[in-house]
Amino acid sequence: MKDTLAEINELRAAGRIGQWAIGGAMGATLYLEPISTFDLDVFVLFEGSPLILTLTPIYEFLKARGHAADGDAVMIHGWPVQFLPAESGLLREAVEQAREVDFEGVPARVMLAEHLMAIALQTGRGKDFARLVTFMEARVADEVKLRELLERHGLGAAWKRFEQNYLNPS
Amino acid sequence: MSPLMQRTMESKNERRKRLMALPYPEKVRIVEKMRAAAAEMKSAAWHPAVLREEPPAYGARKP
Repeated sequence: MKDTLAEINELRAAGRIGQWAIGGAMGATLYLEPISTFDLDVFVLFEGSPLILTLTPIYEFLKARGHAADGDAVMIHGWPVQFLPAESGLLREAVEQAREVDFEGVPARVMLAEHLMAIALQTGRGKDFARLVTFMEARVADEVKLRELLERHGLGAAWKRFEQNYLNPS
Repeated sequence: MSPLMQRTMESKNERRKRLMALPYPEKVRIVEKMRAAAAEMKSAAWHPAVLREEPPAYGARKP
């Protein structure tokens, strides 16, 4: 993983991507117990936002460095990395405000717990709700900050439904 | 809840807390082990180590 993160930093240094942050299960693993997953979700900002977003420059750069595409991911030092453009307001904010992490000497960025929770709520698959319950049980999020964030991104009603269905079912 | 079940639940909670408190690189190494185990199980499902035989023809007359 250390080498994988170093390679993503190279992408950034080469200007192929803007700011980036780890999300998904590997992001949640920073705050919770380890979560089984097959890939590493890396959300990226594109500076100067071209009208048509394309991941081709990322794939070309990595291919030249010996990392082959593997379906919709790129295999980098044993990890299938999925690059996802942070297009929505919520994703953009999550990348911009991500937490700096030192991974055995390699700098990395991981989304904040509150953003990971809001994204899970918005994504809304069964496993996302299960992860949200784990986040709530672990009490790792700032609830005031979470509620403010949910309201700001239009997720207040979805959160109420989640609370009724999973936190206070009766 | 029985005392045994209560103890089991408490020990599970303690284990979860211990895992949560681990440094990130250590948690990532655990995820990597889980990935390897899952991949092994997946490959085993495609190549089952089960001897497939024709069902015996009970009652059939020997030639």
